[in-house]
Order: sequence, then C-alpha cells, then structure tokens
Amino acid sequence: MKGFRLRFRAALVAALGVSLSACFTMNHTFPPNTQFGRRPEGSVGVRSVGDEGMKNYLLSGLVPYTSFGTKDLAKDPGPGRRLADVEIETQFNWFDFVVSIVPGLYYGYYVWAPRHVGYEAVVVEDPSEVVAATR
Amino acid sequence: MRRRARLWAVALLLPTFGSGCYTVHHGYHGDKLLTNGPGLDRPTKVVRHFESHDRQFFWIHGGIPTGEPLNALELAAREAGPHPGVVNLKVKEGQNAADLFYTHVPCLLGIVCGTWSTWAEGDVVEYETPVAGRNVR
Repeated sequence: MKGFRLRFRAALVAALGVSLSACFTMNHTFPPNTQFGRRPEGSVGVRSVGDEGMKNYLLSGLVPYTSFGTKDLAKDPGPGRRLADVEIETQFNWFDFVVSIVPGLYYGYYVWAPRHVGYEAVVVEDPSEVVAATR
Repeated sequence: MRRRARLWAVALLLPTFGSGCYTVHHGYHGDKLLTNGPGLDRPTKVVRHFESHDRQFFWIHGGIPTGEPLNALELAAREAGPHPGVVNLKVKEGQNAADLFYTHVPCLLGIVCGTWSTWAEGDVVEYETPVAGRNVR
C-alpha cells in the first residue's frame, strides 16, 4: 500500500510537471504590424522606444505569475505608426541567478525563477496600408 | 567534512561570475521583411506555413554557451529562403519538456549544464506581382 502511494505520488508529480512544462515559454508579443527586420519602404523613424522588466515564474519556471512579460512590454504606437527594427533580449543575469539558484538548492529554484526581458525598437510613420496575404 | 562544505561553496559561487553571460538576443538586419501583421504593403500570397525550433546547450547556468547563439528572427529569415518575407510571425522562447528534462535531471537542476529553446512560427509570402530588380532570383 505504501509502495503504491509512493508510486502514485511520483506519477502525479511527473504528470503535473509534463503538463505544465509548456508554460515555461515567453511569447514575445508586439503590437499589430510590427516590423522585426527591414523597415517598410517609405517609412520615417519618429523616435526610439524600449523597455525591460523581470518576468517571474513558480516551480522552476513552470508557472508564470506576473503578467509583466514581453506580452505587456511594447505599447501600441498609435494610428499610422508601427514599431520597426525590433530587437529582443532575454537575460539570465546575476540577480536571477542568485534568486533562483543559490537558495534554490534548499527551496528557491522551485519557488521563484526570474528572467529579465527587454526590447528596443523605433516607432515609424508608415503611410502604406497593409494588404493581408492570400492563401 | 569542512573541506567538502568549502568545495560545495566554491562550486555554487563560481557560476555567479558567468551567469550574467547567458543572454538570448533576437535581432535581424538582413533584407527580409518580418512582421507579425497579416501582410505586407503590397498584395502577397502565402507560400507555406512554418514552425521552426532551435535549442542551445550551455554549461554552468549558461555561463558557457555552446554552438550558435539563439535568434528566432534569424531563424524566421532563414525560413523565408528566396522569398521576400514572413507574415503572421510569432516568436517565443523558453524551455519545453525536453529542455526541462535535460536541465533538471542529467544537468543536476541546471547547476552543471542546461538547454534553452527558441521558436519561430509564421507564413512565408511572395509578392503576387514581382517587382523588377527585387525578389526575383
């Protein structure tokens, strides 16, 4: 009975881990029609923008528990404008290391696992309309 | 006993110096148009949909990364091939089940080594009317 319980618990932990594992991904979401590579022809740069922040996870990254991520990082630049020349950086810096690993050998790694995420871009004024691709 | 404790302390402290090194930088400076929008400034046709994945292995909490740096935007541009660009682009990174397994089990909770992944997904497009001197190869 005791052996069964132990096996059941191990299976439960494994199942939970696998089912949650897809959560440890950061979706780098930006406002509509953001240009990551070359700027559209005829667009004019207005100003540089950028932001960075810490993204926190529970259970060694399985559960994100702050909404602050790349999803909320870049704001919509408004009508007739879009982001271009976007560069994204994810860093596991010394703070993240100290927080998640050193105490983690005892408890922390599975409690709090932060990462630092940032982006830089240029707001461009783009007179051209986007024509949706056909399939 | 004290010697072993000291060894553990050094083993734990060593990675702190290298840990700031593990940075994933997504950037692209080539001639492809990469956008999360549904299209480009002129009519385009979807050539194919793609989902690509790249994984990097590192030692000591990322202090010593190995191989090519991860870059989802370069990955997407490579997928575009001879075509002018990619639309509906989605970029993400992190650890999937395989990365978690490598990092936590054989790599001993990430202390010895680990892996990190990046994904790019989108539609490769071609202009419906090719422009002279561009996008024709």
